[in-house]
Amino acid sequence: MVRFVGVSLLYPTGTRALSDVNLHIRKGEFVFITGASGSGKSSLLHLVYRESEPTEGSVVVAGQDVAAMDRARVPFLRRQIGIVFQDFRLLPQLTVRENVGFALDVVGASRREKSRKVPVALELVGLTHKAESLPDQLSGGEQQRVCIARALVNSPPLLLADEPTGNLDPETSWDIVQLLSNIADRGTTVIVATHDKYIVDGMRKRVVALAQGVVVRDDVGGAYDYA
Amino acid sequence: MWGGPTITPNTIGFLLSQAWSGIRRNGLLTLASVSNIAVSLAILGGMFLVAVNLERMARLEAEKAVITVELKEDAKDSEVEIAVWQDPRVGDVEYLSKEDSLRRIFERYVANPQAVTLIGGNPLPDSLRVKPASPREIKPLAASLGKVSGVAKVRYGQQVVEKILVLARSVQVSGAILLVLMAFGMMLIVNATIRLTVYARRREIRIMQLVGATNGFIRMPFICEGLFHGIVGGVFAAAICLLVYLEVVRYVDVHLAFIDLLYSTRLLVAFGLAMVTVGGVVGGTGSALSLRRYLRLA
Repeated sequence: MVRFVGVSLLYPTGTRALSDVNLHIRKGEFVFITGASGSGKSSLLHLVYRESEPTEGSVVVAGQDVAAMDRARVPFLRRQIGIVFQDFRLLPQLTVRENVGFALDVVGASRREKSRKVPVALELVGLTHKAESLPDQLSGGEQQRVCIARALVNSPPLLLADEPTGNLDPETSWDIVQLLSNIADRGTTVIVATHDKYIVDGMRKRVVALAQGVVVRDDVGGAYDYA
Repeated sequence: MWGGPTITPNTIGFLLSQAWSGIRRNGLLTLASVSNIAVSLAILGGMFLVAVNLERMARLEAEKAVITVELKEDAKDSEVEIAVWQDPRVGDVEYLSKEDSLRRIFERYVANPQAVTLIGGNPLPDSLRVKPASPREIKPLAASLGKVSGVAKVRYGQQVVEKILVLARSVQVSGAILLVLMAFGMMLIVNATIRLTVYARRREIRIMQLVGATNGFIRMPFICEGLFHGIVGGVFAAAICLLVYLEVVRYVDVHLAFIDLLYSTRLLVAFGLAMVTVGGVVGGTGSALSLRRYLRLA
């Protein structure tokens, strides 16, 4: 689903964010990207959804060379990728239902499609009863569930989560990661960037550890501990 | 999954509601932008109406233009008239004896035309009144008629026509310069207003980009907003221009009847539509420009 071949990313300031990263994530896999702040976790995710382009190497997502992709095709790449953020990025003036529907509105979905898909996504994250609430009326964990529902409403084959539990307490974090894991079990490829040791150790999934932009470990069923 | 964006009724509703919320959010600035466009377009439209009428006056004057060919005392009028007819540019020739000329002058300018008999002599020459086939050829035709034997002098009313034409042209040129400057000004203010909307909506725009909205789609509500400014401004400008113009036409009809102003419903409707179109183009372009940089950064 996602393949990095000899990828390096150099910021214009000269900072080296990633060095010669090689990675292969198969369809339906659940992968943690771990590492301290500044180790390159976010940079790696950015390359997947073409927020930035690699200085060297190639990034292939769902059979498409993302680095060589024409700018005009980027929106269509992103329709195949759901993205979950640490800060949720919900629109405060829209209800939960409208926030999830927003992702369908902007890709030109019909009203019928919307009324069919939004409840399914809300049900999946367990928020059917909060559909008419505003984000401010929800807890952090609930807001993150809305964000996940919005990421999934287009049924993307790939879900990226950048520190999804960064703003949540440990218990809520655990629920969110369980939810992401369930999503992976349904066939969606899930990549989670996190520095939350508790979660990574509890899940025993594949762990790709980054340190200063280099992959230092890639274990299936691994724990967080890195050098 | 790789097709282009589909436009559904839901899409259009979504875009329009986005545009409308921007217009509402920027109430005062929207007002500033709309009135700026209205005033600028009204000034340009007014100049256009003046220029069109001046040109028309010049054309009507040119059509009335006649070359007066004064004959020498000893010339045979019939021979000169035959010679004049040889020129293919001549449309019509009328012989006017010195007595006829004098009578005409009295008829036109003197309260009591009978006074013509009180004058002892007649200082006027016999003359031919030559109407050119095309008003545009009046100048070269007059020049060559001056060379016909038996002709003393050639006069024509070209000076008036030329003055009106010069005036019309200067109105046109200054109008064109003003159009460029004001279009620039209008775009700047639309641009600034839309930029504020863009700023207020940066979070929405960001999310749109992340969930895969195309740039065209993201741009659409903002362009609608700019179009709204331009079109509403254009409607006001057209209304101002047309109301003032109709008032002027009415006044001129009553008090300055010798001036014949352009008045045709079809033309005035076309003028109004043109104002609205120019407003729309300026507004749409202004807002499209305000987003270009923003979207490229993302």
